[in-house]
Amino acid sequence: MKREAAWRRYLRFWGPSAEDDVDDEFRFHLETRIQELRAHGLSAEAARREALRQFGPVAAARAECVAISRNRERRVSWIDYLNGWAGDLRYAVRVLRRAKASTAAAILILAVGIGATTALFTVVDRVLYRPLPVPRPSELALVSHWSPSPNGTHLGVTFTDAGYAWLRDHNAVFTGLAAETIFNARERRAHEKIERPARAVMVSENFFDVLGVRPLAGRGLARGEDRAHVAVAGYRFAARRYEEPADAVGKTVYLNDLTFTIVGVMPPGFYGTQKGYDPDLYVPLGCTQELIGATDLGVYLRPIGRLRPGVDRARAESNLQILWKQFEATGPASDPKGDRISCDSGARGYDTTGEQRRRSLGLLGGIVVLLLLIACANVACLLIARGAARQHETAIRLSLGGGRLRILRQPAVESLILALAGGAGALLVAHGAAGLLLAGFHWDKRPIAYGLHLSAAGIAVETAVDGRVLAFAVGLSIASAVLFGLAPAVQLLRGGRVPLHRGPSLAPFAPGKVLVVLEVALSLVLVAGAAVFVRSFQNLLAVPTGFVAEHVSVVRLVRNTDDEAPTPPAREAALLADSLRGARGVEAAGLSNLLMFNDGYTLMSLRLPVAQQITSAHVVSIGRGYFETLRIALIAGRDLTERDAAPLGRVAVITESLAHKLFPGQIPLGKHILLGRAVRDPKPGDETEVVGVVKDTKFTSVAQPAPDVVYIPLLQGETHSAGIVLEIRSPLDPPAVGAMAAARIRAAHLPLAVQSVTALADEIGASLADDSIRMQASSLFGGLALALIASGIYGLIAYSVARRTREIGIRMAVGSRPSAIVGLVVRESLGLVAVGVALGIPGAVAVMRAVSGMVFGLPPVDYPSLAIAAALLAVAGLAASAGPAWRAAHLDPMKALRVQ
Amino acid sequence: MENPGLDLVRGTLDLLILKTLTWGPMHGYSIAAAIHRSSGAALLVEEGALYPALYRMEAKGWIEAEWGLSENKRRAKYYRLTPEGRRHFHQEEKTWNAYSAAVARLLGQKAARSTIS
Repeated sequence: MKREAAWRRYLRFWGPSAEDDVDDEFRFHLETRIQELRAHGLSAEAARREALRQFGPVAAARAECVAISRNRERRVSWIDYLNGWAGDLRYAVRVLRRAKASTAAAILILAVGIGATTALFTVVDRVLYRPLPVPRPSELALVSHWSPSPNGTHLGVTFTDAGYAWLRDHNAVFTGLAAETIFNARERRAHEKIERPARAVMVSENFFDVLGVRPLAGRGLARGEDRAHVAVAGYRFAARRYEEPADAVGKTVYLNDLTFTIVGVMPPGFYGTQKGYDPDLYVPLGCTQELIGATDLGVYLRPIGRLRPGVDRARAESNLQILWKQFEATGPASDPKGDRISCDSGARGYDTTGEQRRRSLGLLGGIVVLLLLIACANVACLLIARGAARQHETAIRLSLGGGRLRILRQPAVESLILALAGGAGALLVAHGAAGLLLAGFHWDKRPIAYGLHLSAAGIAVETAVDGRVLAFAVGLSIASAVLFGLAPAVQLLRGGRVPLHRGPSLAPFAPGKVLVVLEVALSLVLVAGAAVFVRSFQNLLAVPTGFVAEHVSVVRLVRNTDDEAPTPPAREAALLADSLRGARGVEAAGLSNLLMFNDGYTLMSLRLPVAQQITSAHVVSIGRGYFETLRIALIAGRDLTERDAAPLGRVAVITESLAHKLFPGQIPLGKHILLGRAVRDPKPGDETEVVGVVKDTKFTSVAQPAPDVVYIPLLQGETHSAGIVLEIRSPLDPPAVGAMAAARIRAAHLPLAVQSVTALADEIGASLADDSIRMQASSLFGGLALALIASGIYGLIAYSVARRTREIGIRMAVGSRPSAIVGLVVRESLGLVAVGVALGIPGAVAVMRAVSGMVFGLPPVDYPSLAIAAALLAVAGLAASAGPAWRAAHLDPMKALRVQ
Repeated sequence: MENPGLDLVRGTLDLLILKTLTWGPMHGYSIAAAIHRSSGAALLVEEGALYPALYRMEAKGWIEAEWGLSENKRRAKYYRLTPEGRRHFHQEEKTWNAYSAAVARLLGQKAARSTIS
């Protein structure tokens, strides 16, 4: 009885109101009373008055009843509504479980699509948008110092110790102002012979207090420890170098041969103030001079402050500006130059993401969004194919008066379940993919060194799934549910027009075809993009470098003594190279102060003694055997040897194109040039004689043209590098070569240490890291797109074959050959691909133009790439239709004809 | 016309309605009439107040309503007790009896004391 009442109310939910019910009831009451009173002999008017009197205030009672009634209806309708949802949910789960294969396929496809997008979001979020993992990051401000430059702009300049101290001690806007500077140190433990590169940050003693981060173990830096030899370890460093991170506390490390005692370990996830840097060790700023050996050499002091409550950055900036004016006025001999102090938001720390990387991320973003669209289209196809079978059911429900919204809710629930299941899978995909992306992203242009576990240190950003990423994935899942649920919903409503008497039959599948064509068009964009990057990368690898990198091992040597020698161990390295020459497995050995591509470079001014025009060239100091080892062809003159020491006069070997530039039409041998300091103020004996000419080689990048290079003898001039690079041509692999070098060093008691051993080919590969990542990422996503498109076409064609079973049966009965049936099916599939490709060409061309700045050696629109992409899609179409075609060709005509 | 009976305390009305409905389903008018009759006209229900009480109890699930035809062949809303309403009534009845007994005892004692003094 109660249920009937509720149902009646439900029907009336949009219609008559609660008032009518109350009015009916009151009217009945009053009229019955009036009747009774009149039966007792009252007049009509008197009866009415008496009835109303007995009833009391009608309006108040009515209002109260209506209010109660309304409340109740709302609750009842809500409960009913939720019950409806629960029913839909149960039904959807049952439907999904019945169609296990297509449900699994849909979830898998969504997991890949949403996962790739979520992975990219994770990276973008971590790299660009995430605030520093410190309390109240929005209070942090980065203080920078700008000096006017001659051309009217301002150049960023570093703070001096005194300048920083002045701001720290006199400002009224910060609760604390810390400062730091990054430097790359050499690190080893006591009794260890091999040093490891360490990322270190020198920080003011209040650094951790200002950031508000407490160490995981031990303590931070204490007041008065500005010059103490203590260090705080980063979590990753401690975890890498010690059994338990907390074990690091109390241990001693050697940094650039100075001992430091580790007093604390920072918590995991804390990475200082610069994304992707993740320092190994934090040491007091006062140790700068001892550690680097110079006061101003490359020390870029950057202050970071925590604003006092209620102070905004603009106010802080004006306060600091005034302070700086005072500092310049009181400062020793510094003339006021109109310097500016600015305060930037420090919530996200320092941003060192280059424009290149941002563009790469933007590109990746576009790719994954396309992929997600394709995935959604694919799932929509699957759902439509399944929904087609349910058209009959929908038609019945519609004809029975089921509300359209109510009928649509059921497939919507189904879509939502699929999307959320896909989203859950996506989190797994995203976790793995984000790790890979970040590994590529933070590849610091160094090859993986054999024997050293640098690669683990390269990934400096946590990839754990957290709230932000989770929210993103859920949001994306719901958005894609709307996307892929839309087409089946429209189709379901159309089902209303299917005449009931036709019975359950498979309708032609127009929306599915449209979706597959769109999918092909989107895939073409992705696959063509991938083809462009692969071809670009091949071009890069095919570029002649001017030397032969195969079978060359690169051994980096440093001095292994405690004395702070300012010169690199050139003589010692030369002795080592001599002892290695002629050893078994060593074809050639050469020396240089640096290696092209990854070591940086030395540019020096250059002019002819007779001319005033100054140019510049790269300068590399080399020892005997360098050209021979790298197989750089000597065109004229001679190689440099250890005998070319300074007292005998300066000599150099120059590259071919430099020779043409300096001495057009002349023989360069025996000519003189001025190099470096000698260019401005030449003294007798400063002239350098050209004794040889070699072929050009690529130097800083494979993609850039070969620069001008001057090779000078290692023992002739001073070099700025700390180590020596030993190049060895040998069929042995790099670790074996490194071990051999280490053995020779021990045997000859040379004061050298092997810092790292790499393959020259890897060094070049590392210089192509960005291109390599682009190629790999775009290939991966292109491959995924192909897989998706193949599965989409397969679903569609299989459906189509099932629908046309009867027709195929008839064809076979009247004598069609199986090959003709196969042709029928394959033609349908290839036709879809052809239309999709034609539609996708404008998009693909637009994308090619957009990425043309990132590719090498290809025209803005690369037609071969388009052709490759179209061919790959055609192959995917063929492969996808093979199964259904085979099935169609092997139909039993008698059975096929009996199919409804 | 002066008020011949006692004003009804809220809550007491609920109890009376529930009691009345234990006899079977009734519409609002007959509930009012029954209360009037069975209390010997001693308790006066302002009939208008009956309905909000009915609606409230319906919302609470103590009674349920259904439209039906009255004795004079008119559409009327019939109320009946739900099992829950019945339970509630028994409980309330017990409380009320205990309460009224206590009040009666108290009044009785007071009356006795006043005779002594």
